[in-house]
Amino acid sequence: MRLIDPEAFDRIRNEYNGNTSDMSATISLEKESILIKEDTGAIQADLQEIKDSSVRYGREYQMYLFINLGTGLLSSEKDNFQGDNSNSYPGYKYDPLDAVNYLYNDRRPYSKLLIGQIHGHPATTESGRETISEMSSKDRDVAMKFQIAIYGVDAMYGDIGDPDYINRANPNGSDTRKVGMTKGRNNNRDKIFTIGRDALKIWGQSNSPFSIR
Amino acid sequence: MRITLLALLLMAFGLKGKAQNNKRILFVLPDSVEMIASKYIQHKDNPSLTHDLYCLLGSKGEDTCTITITSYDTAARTIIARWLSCTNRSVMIDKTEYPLLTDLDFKFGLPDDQDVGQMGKRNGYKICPLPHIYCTIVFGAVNGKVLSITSTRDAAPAE
Repeated sequence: MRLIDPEAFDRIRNEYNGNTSDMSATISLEKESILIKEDTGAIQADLQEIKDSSVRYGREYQMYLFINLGTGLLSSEKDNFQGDNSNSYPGYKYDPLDAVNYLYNDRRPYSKLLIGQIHGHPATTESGRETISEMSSKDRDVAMKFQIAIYGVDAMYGDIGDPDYINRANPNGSDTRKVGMTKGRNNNRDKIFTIGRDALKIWGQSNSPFSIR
Repeated sequence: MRITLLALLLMAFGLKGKAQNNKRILFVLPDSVEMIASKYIQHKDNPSLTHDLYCLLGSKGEDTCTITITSYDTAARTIIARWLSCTNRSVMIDKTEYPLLTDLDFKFGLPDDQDVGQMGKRNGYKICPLPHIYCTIVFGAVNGKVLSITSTRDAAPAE
C-alpha cells in the first residue's frame, strides 16, 4: 500500500485520461507516493500492553493507530492516563480544512493521521455484573462519529502476557466479533492479527469524521 | 464558651452550604424523563455506588435531547474526574443532585489547559466519552416525550 496526496493523484489520473493502470501512470504514481510501512513490532507490543495493563489494573487503557503522513509509517501510540474501569475517552484533534482527525498530541503542522482506537475491556468492578466479549452501542457510536475502527480488547481474565480476543466496532455502525487476538507470547509475525492494516483498510473506505449523525 | 463556639461553627457551615447552592446551576428534566432516569438508578442493573454517577446532556438536532446516566471513578486521575470535580451544573433526579456535563463540554472543553497555544494556532485536543455502563434516554426538548431508551448490554448482570 502507498500513500499519495489526493491532488497529485487527481493530476496524474487526468494526465492519463483516467487510466491509472497505464505503465507510465503507475511509475508517476509511485514517484509521487510513499510506501506505507507497518511498524508491526511496536503495534503488537502496545496492543499486548494495553491488554495486560487493563487486566492488571482493571482500567480501560487505550492506544491509537495512526499513519505518519511524512514518512508513511503506520504505527501506534499508547495513552495511559484517560480511562477507568468502565470508561474510555478517545482523544483527537480535528482539522476542519482536511476533514480528518489527527492524534491528540500531534503538533502543527499535523502529520499523525488517526485511523483507529483500541481500548481494553476489563472485568467490571460493579457487583453482580459481568463484562462480556462484545462491543457496546457507544463503541459503535464513536466508530461512526470518528469514521474509524474502534477495537475492544478482552481483558477480563487470564494472566499477564496471555493472548486474548479483539472485537471491532465499524464506521458503518455494525460490529464484528473476534476479528483477531493479541499476540500473547507468540513472536511469529506470520501468525498475528495485523491490526494496523485492518484499521487502514477500514479507514480507506470510510467517510469524513462527524459526517454521519 | 463551648456553646458559643458550636453556634459559630454551625453558622459557618450553614453559610457555606448556602453559598455553594448559590454557585451552581440546577437542571431539571421533563417529568417522564426523570422518572425513567430514577428507575434506572434504583434498578438492580444500575451501576453500583462503588463508582459515582454523573449525567451527560446532549442534543440531537433542534428539538431532541439526550440524557446519559453513567458512572466514573472518583479515585482515577482521569480528565472526566477533574471536570466533574469543578463543574457547577447538576441535575436533580428524585431527591439527589448528580453532577452534569453537556456535549458542548466535549466539543469545546480542553482536557489539558496547560497547553492552549496562541490565538489562531490553538493546540487543544478534544476527548469523546465512551462509557460502557450507562443508560441513554432520547427525548423531545419541548414536550418531554421519551423517544428511545438505550441501556448498557456489555456489562449484563451475572446469572
